[in-house]
Amino acid sequence: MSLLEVEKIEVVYKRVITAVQGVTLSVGPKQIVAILGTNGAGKTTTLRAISGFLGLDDARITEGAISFAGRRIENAPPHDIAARGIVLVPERDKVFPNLTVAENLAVPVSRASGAERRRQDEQIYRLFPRLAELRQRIGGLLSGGERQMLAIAGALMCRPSLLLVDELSLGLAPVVVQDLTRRLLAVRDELGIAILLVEQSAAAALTIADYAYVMENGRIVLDGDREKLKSHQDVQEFYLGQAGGERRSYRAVKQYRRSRRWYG
Amino acid sequence: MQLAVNIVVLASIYALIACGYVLIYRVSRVLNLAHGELMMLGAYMVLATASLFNGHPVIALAAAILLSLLVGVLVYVFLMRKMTGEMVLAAILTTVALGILIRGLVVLIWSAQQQYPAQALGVPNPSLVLFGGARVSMWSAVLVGTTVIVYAALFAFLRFGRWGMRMRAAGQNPLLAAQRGINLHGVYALAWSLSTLTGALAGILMALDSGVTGGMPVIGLKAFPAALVGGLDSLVGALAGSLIIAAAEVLLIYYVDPLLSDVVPFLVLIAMLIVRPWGLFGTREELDRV
Amino acid sequence: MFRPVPRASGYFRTGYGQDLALVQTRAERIGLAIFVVILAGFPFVASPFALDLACQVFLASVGALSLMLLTGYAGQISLGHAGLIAAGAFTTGILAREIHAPFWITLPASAVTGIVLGFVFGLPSLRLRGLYLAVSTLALHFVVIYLGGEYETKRGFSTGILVEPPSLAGFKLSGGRFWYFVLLAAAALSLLICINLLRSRSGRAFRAVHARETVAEALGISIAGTKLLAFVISSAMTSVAGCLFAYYRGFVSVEAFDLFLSIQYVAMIIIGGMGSLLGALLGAAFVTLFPYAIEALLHLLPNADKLAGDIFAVNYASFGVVMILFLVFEPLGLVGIWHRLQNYFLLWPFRYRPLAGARK
Repeated sequence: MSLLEVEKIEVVYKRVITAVQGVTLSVGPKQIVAILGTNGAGKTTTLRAISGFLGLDDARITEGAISFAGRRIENAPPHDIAARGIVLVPERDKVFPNLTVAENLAVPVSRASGAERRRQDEQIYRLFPRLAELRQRIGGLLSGGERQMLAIAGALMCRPSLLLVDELSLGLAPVVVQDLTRRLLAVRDELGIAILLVEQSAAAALTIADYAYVMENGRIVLDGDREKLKSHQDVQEFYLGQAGGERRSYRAVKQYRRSRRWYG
Repeated sequence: MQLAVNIVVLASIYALIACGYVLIYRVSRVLNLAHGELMMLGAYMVLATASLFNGHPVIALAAAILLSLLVGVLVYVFLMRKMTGEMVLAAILTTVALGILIRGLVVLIWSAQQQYPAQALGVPNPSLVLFGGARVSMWSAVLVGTTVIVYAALFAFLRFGRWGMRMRAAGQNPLLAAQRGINLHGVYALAWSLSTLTGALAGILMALDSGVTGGMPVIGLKAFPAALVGGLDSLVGALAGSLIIAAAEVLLIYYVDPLLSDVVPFLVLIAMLIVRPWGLFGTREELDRV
Repeated sequence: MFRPVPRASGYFRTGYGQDLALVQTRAERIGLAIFVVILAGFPFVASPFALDLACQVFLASVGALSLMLLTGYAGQISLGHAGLIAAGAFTTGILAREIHAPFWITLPASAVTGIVLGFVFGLPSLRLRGLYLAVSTLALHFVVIYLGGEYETKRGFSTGILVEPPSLAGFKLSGGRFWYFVLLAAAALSLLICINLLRSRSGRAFRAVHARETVAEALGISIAGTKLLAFVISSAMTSVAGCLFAYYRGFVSVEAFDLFLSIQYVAMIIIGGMGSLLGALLGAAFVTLFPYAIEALLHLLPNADKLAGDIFAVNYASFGVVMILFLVFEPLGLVGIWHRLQNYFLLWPFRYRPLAGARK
């Protein structure tokens, strides 16, 4: 029984621009699932649709359904979705810049209180020991990697059952990204949370994802488990940068030929 | 010495009003230009509750204060909530329009004459003598004390209280706050009710001291530069700004020209806008949020 | 549905003359001619009260157009409009009282006052934007009012300055019809100035600075120059409106130029519809006629006498309500309503204009 079921959703911006079409994906409990794709493929829109933040950009889910733990949640208000256990780590503006690290972690709302909350605090500090050293540092003064850690930790304070991470590796050095992906794995193992990861860096995502979807132009063109994708020719060529044989110009591969290979 | 006392009293008035502006701005980036009128409404409500609870001044006062809390929540829920997410200018103009509406309603309900809640409540207002031969009325002294208590409480709440931290968070990054489970509407309603509460306290205490008339909102408008000079999102700034402006006003009235009273706060404001637009203690944000 | 009146659609101009013309199709020209005839004939059939109303609307239009220029097009928020009107009115009053200056001196003098004040009000805009700019204009408004009050008290005009009607070659110029045409000319002139300014390079610079300053600067537009120009032109127009106000009312006093007047002008451009000259005119008409409409409405109610004594308060309250209603429900103003109405009839049975290049 999967935790999150997205069935054939269609997201339309400003009533006329279709950003996402016919997208179906699912995330099982304690699974790490990645959505790969280039800019403009519709990955962030899908994530926004799941977490309920479409209204801000005048967008709506016009078709399809999203179910979480059996309940339908498409077009529900964001704090409602957060209360049910889906929390988003956004791409930008991911921490409160004028609050300290400790305050950043005290602010999120969760049903726990008192002793339970303190236990959570300690668990988070164990998973991210660097944050324990930086407890009194102002959020805006953290480095990129530290900020991303704080963002994830803050999201975890809400005790989600599904964590949505938007562009984990954006603007971070590869070493830092490696460290973060390892910690996400630890988060999944220790806290038993499912993670839906949206990533441009397929290499980073495929190191920890159990299952992945590839999106292009608003549709899912390929999905499979980690091994299948890593060995798929097109993923290797276009997303992992490992061209087999001689270097071919992108122009040599026409879109229709490519789509035949996707569906093949 | 009397001058110093006058400065302290005036600064307390401005500070108590200014913290209302700061609360709402810090949490929702909206400038509530109806604050002066809401303050006046609080004062008038004492008249209403005084006649309701005749003979029980404490209950009447408490009732008026509670009513103001309620009014703040209602203003948010029925009016300002619809303006969240709109242009900030539109939200500010909505508060201006609300202020105008309240002014009209107050005159319609209570008439434009000067009235004296202290008489209605049956409480005295003796003049206290301080050292140096300075005099201060009792309710003015109470006002100074109230300002101190209110500021201390607000400081503690915003700095250490969990919901105070959440209010600050909502002010910095509303989207992220919503994503972390903070109900923004709840936080904004809380800010509005606290702001209206402090405003009403100021209005009530001033009314007990010198009566209430339709011209009260002017003081609210004069306190606004105090908030701005100190930094529109800083409580410390509001205190500092109030002191500076009160000092300037009292001294200039005494030594230069009594007519200056209404314009001094704005002169100080202009000076501050030239030198340091974000105020003494405000965060230096982009100044172009329209 | 029905055959719509032919208006200009598409771009079919083949010469510069046609490009500059204000009306395009023959139907538009006929419409304009009819409108002009109605305007010209109005004072001869209307009652003095209606004439006064029309005069007030024209006078308000000048101020509304100048504020629309500044806030609606150039994007510089100004809450100090009443201060500028006061400046023009006081210049006129002071000159008329102190040196008995005739109107052909006070009028340009008011304009000069407006220009100077425009610089002063506009200087903060070089450093501040949005909320802080609005606050600075508010502060300057209070300073102007204070100076006016100082003059009144120091020179003993504690109730206000009486202004004689303007005279030309010994004839006193006054009377409802005279003022109707003068104010109509003033409003029409302001409208023409605004239209032409907006079609010119400066007008485009206004819009560019409003939309995105950094891009405008990259295009070679001087931000400081454009903002100051907007303030100066707008203030000059407003001061002249103040001068006309002084002559029309015959009386200048500080109380007439309070914050509420500034708010009324801001309401005019919001209720009318920001970013549209037609909006400025509609808004001016709406806000000017509103109190009279409320008063008329009041007389229809049963217990009218009780409220009639507090007519000011009723005006205030209902003004506040209407302003809130427009801000919450129709932020695009009367022009927005007009466009929606137009679109409904023009596009029927479709509901939305198609976006160019919508994806299938």
